[in-house]
Amino acid sequence: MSAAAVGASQAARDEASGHASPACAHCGLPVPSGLIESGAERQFCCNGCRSVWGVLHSCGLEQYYRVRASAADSELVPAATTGRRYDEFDDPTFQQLYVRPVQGGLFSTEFFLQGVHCAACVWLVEKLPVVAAGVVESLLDLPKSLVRITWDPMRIRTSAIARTLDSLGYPPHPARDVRTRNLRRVDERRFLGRIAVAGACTGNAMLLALALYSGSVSGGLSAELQTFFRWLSMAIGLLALAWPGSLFFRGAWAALRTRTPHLDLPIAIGLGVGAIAGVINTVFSLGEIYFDSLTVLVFLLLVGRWIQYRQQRGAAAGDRVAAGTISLSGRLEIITQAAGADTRVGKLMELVEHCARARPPIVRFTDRIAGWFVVAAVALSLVTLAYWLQRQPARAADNAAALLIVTCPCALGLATPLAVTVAIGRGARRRILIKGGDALEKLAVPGTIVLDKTGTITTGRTALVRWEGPEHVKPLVAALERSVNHPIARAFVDAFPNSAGLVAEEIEQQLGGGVRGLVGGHRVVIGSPAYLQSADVVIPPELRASLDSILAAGLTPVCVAVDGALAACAGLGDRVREDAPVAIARLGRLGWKVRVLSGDHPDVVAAAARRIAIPVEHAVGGATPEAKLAEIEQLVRTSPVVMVGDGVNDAAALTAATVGIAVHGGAEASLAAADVYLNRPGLAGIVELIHAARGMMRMIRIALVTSLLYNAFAASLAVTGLISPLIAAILMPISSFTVIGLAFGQRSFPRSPISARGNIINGGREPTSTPDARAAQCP
Amino acid sequence: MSVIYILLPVALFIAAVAVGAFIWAGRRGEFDGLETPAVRMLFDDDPPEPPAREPKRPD
Repeated sequence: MSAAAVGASQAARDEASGHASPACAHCGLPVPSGLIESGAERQFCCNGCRSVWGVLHSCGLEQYYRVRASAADSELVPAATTGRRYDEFDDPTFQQLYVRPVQGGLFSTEFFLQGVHCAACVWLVEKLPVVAAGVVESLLDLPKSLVRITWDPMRIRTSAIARTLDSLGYPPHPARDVRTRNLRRVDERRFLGRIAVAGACTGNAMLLALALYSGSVSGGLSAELQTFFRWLSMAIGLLALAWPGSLFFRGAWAALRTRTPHLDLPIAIGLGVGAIAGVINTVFSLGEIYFDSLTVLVFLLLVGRWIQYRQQRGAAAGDRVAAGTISLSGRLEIITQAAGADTRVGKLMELVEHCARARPPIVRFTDRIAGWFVVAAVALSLVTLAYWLQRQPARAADNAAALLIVTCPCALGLATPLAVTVAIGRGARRRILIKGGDALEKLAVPGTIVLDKTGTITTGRTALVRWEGPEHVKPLVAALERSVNHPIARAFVDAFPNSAGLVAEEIEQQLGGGVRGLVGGHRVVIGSPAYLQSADVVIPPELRASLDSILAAGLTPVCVAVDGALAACAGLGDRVREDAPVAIARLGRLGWKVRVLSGDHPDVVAAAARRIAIPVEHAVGGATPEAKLAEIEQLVRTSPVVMVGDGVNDAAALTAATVGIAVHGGAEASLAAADVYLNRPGLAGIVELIHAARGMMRMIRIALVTSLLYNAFAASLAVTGLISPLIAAILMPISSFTVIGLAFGQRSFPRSPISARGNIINGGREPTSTPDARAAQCP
Repeated sequence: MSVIYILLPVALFIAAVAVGAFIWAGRRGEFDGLETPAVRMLFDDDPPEPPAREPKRPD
């Protein structure tokens, strides 16, 4: 849906429900009623949108809106500007670290940009030379949100460039680790070159092999031609082994030298044996040559490594999470700002990257097994060689080579790490950021989950929980509260969307007390009991009982008086999420025990626990950070503990737990301490995470068993001389692809990505025009 | 058929040139980011400067 179409349908729905909500001139989202400027020609939902609109129009870049409308993947997001000065970008230390001179007297740097989410952003960012005079070139890498800017230092300063980017809605941050990234880039290019050479050699070797095969089938190739083709094949084959294939030989040599068995070892031996046999056969005009198989092997193995490498890099750096998510939602290479924060944030990110690279226990386990497997395969091939040399010497080399080629610890070396990487990557698309595969592994075994209250079980926002009063008072309340900008007012407006076309007049607000006004001819007073008393409203005894029960439930009481008489009492509080009871029941079915450990008032915690069917002895309120830590340490002794928290006071507990999950909106300290970051509010993400962990582990086990069976079967075929190296070279990739297919086919996370505005109520789909969604859209 | 003794080496030489071109392009960064160029082709060339007009709303 184009931006305007969504806006139009929003407006239509708003019309139907009795009020018109104008659309923001920049992002197209509805403008909250509190921010409408009467009489203004155009409305904006926030200052960010207003300023970006202004910049676009003053620079003649209105085409942006057309580009955005035609870009299929663009989402409606308010513009994020910060208004920072970025003066530190001109500092010589900064320049030395992040800016490098390029030819022509120009400077170049890379920034990580917040707020990049669609094709239109690419268009806009690359139009930077139009907006900022002196910028020569601006190239954005969309999935990484990295822009490379080249500029003339005589005409514009670095800070001015940063300010311009910020004013367009893309706050910039210096890109970390430029040196590492450059080195990695050079490595990648070189690897791609190897693949190209291997591919070219493979194609040509296969053509020559085809000629040789057809010759032998159709009744003979002349001896000279045969010799010619064979020598050419050998040249091509040896080139493939010497240049792209040298990777495997060097790896095998390193493995031998350090005595750590490595998958490169059997590959190198297989390649070597095949090459030697082929060379001997060519030079002395003996038997078969295998250069087509060898080159294919080298090519496909390199391609496989390339894919695996890009998978891992993509998962670690975060898939392109849609729409408006900020740097924290998955780009693990983030920012270091000036001096003070530098150490802390830098260390945080190092820690995160370290964890991402750290290998989970299951992978270490399979690596060790792979080592033994390699030794066993080599030993077995030597035995095979010795055995067949005594029986039929002509077949000995073939069988030994076939054994080495066909045995493949693919599940061990490839599929297990791949399964972990795929799970993490898919999790990132579901806005669940997992720092390392070991977290997933630990989550597959049920234990105890400890929940913080606010934000996980409850919505963390003030909402109407109880209403004791007649229906006809509701529109009056809605009309009066509509014009008030206060969380309590918003709670009423969300709860009573229909104000029956009434308009409030003579509105008087008292901060901290309440509001009064004239609605449809009635005098309406809404506020705390004390406020109503000061307005000379008497509370009759029957409503006094309601008031007491509201207080007992731990809610904030708000009273409504119409024409001097108390008409209704409302209880406001933090509403338990609709999906919370279901989610907790599901966790129970998966074998997890659920507890609540919160710093909130014990009564409030007890009330929330009752609503989600948690026994009251497992719901603890009023817990200090030390108390939380102690409780977690106590629980960890008996079973795995998963701690879910969002506040600063959860950081220590998160570290002590077996797996720590930091939730949406969490403080930075808990983000650093946690193993998983859930960028979605509510409990649905936790259930999904646990399902995913089990799915991943199940798939790893299946892959291991499959690989074991395949190897046993194939090895016995090779040892008994039933397959040739050619058949082996076909079987092995088939088994590898099968096991890799299993790794991708894992039933862990659902495939569909979750956009920034998907919420748990609609399962992560685009939100409909509910009051919740409208309120959530504009910051 | 003896022409193949010349043809094959020539063909292989041409293949080598192609691979060389690929490696050269790779070194210059052509294959660094494969996703963004796909998006760039959506952009039209800038139309001639329009006269100052009412800003266009998305529609």
